[in-house]
Amino acid sequence: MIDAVQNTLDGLMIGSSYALLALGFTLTFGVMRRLNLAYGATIMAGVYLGTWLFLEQDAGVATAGIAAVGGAILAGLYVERVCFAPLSERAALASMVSSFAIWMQLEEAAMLALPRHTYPFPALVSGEPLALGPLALRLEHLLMLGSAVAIGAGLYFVLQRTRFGRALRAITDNALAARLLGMGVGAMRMRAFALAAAVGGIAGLLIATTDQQVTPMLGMWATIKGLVAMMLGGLGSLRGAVAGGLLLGVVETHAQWYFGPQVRDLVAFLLLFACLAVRPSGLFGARGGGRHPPAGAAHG
Amino acid sequence: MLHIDGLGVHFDGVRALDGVDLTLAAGEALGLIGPNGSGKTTLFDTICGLIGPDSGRVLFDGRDIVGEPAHAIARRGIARTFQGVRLFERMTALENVRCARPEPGVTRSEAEQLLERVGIRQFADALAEDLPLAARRRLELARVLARRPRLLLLDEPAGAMNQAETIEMAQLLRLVHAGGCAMIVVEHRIELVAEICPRVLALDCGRVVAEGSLDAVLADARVRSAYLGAAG
Amino acid sequence: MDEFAVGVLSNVGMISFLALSAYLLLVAGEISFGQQGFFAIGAYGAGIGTALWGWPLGVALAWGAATAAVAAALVGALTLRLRGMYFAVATLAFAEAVRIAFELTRYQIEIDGEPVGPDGIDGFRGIRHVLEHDIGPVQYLALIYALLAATLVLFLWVERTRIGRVLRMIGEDPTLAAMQGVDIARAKLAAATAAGALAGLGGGLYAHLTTYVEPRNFDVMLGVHSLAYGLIGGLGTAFGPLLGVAIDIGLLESTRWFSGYRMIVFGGLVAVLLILRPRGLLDERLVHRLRSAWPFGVHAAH
Repeated sequence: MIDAVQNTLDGLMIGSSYALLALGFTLTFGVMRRLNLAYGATIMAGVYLGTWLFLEQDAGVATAGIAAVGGAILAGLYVERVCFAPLSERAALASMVSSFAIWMQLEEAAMLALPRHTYPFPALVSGEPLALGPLALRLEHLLMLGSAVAIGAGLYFVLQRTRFGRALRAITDNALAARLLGMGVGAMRMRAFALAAAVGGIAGLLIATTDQQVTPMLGMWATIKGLVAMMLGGLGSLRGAVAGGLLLGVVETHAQWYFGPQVRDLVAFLLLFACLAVRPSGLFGARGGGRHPPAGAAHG
Repeated sequence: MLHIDGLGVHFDGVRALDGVDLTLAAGEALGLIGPNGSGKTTLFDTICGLIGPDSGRVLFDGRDIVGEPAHAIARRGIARTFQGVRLFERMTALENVRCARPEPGVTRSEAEQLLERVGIRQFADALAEDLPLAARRRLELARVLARRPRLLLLDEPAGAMNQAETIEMAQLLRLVHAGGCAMIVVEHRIELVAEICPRVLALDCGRVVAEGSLDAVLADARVRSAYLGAAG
Repeated sequence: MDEFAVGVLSNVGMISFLALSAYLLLVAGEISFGQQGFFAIGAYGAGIGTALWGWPLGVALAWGAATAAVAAALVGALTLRLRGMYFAVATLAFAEAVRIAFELTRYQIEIDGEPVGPDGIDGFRGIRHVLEHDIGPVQYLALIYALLAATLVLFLWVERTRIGRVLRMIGEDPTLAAMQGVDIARAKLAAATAAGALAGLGGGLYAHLTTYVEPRNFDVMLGVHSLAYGLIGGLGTAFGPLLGVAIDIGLLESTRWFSGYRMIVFGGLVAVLLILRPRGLLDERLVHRLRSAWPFGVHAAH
């Protein structure tokens, strides 16, 4: 019984890292209707930059952290310029494939810079885990959970309550009209990507400081986990991103406890596949989203 | 042959069709007019099975076809064109016509004859996306004719055409109709409707507001206010 | 023939099956990130066939292709109603699930005192049918290319028939295709099944060439590559994906010019082509122009 609760607790903690990843994904998709598969790779680029500074330039955790987020933003903008800006709104699928190609690029570039299988990364907080009776809570995990909630709330605020957010949502609904109204669609899109990349960079940083190590699998891992979490929760929904991430974390932790790490990953993919086969719109997505509408017709 | 009964469609809170009734006899040509947004294309989409109505029936040859998949409805002998010509752009004109009936298929010579009939034989091997608009419209017509339809739904066949082209299209459609095909023609160009459709239906805001001969419908006060009111 | 050249050509031939598999779906309008899953099923299936059950190579290859086809039909039935992006992610999830499933699968039989068979994450060693039957590298190369040639002829023939037309119709404008009476769901399912069989056949050939496969071989990157071949080489003809494979394996991997930077170049190529030439090098327009210029007119009298 205690195990189950501890597992759930651990699951929520790891789930909050997934939630952060999903939030960044959701920002690009939910607002721009494009799936950015290079997302994890841009996070990896940032984290690797921070790692490099830490190792080669003796940077402290703060500098490495800023570099991680900054690097992610730069990588994110590169992706936006190459995969999303030049392709029209209707070429969303082409953007997705292109972003996959850039993922390959970024990953190879990162591995050329830092070829080993693992590198150390400094910790952000240090201290004994909190004890709540028989249960243990690591401080780093608490930080992650807190960040996920804070950033989720922050993004919600930005999208719903600020001019920038409203403009962004207007552009999603009707880019042509927005352009005619003089809204700088290109500039807005870049800012949205930068924001999403920043969120990702923070996620990557928190994960690196929690694990205190960095591996080349980071890019793939971040993309897959973020994608699964986002799809579970419902594409385009910030609430869904957080819910999906936490759910995924809890399910995975339990699966790992009983069956080991490989089953853990298997369960994540099967869950995603099942979700898509049965209810593609996820927990919070719009009903009927994900399936082909019976019509493709224009309305006159 | 076609009987529509109380058809209602709404999306996102807008009533696109609101209790539409329509009857069409075999071989009859019916005109459908109305301002933009009055529901004409939605009506076509519903008949073809691209949209599921919220209420009402669509009886084709006595059978309610609401809920049938679009491809099954098409195979019953209903063919349609689209506002703003819809072709398989990456295929040639000839291939487009050959696509019209995947089973049992359209032979090369049959396709060439159809292109001849609509007057674009010379474009047979040109890619659809390279064709000028008038040719594209004729190609769309050739494609629907290849289906040997019993009911033809034409959505603005003369859209964006000049006077001369419109007259040619009207003549072409006359010939098609003479072959015994029933048609519903949505059109803003009154000359074309006058040329082909002895009976006309006027739609506004998803409702039928007038029905009768073209002159009678155009004289109807409700129709006038629909157009003038909408034109603003 | 130079051993290195034989090796490169064999790789090109095998991977071409995977490329054609993804290409078939692309033509039908679907993006699949998961064809490597069927490649894996074919590899393991055919390997088990010869190494554990003592079947002849041809039977084992057919078995690999058949199991992959069945899997593809199942996946297709579950996913083909999904919109493009969701379908792509679903195929990705499937392929990764397959890969991990193979990491967890142990199926070994004692043969001559040695355990033979898939051993989870350590892979499947000893697929030695080719060596045991004295099939040399050049002969195996001939086998690969004979099968590939047959497949290509099939593709080129289908291209000009009703089936080919239907696939391209669906790929370009599904709604319009439905209006011509095409049953889209059935056609897509058929395409997915055929694509699965192709990938499975390629996988079987791969397993017997390398004599050893492990789950790690069938990762996401393989799937993305298979997609990229068609996107780079062109979607206008079955020669398109083959051109893509030749560019990647023939040029990038095998020459020393790009060592270490292959992904960077390849990824960049894909991105640039998607901007400038979204249907690839041998796109429909170019193929159309080539056909018009072709003096033979073999297909003209149809």
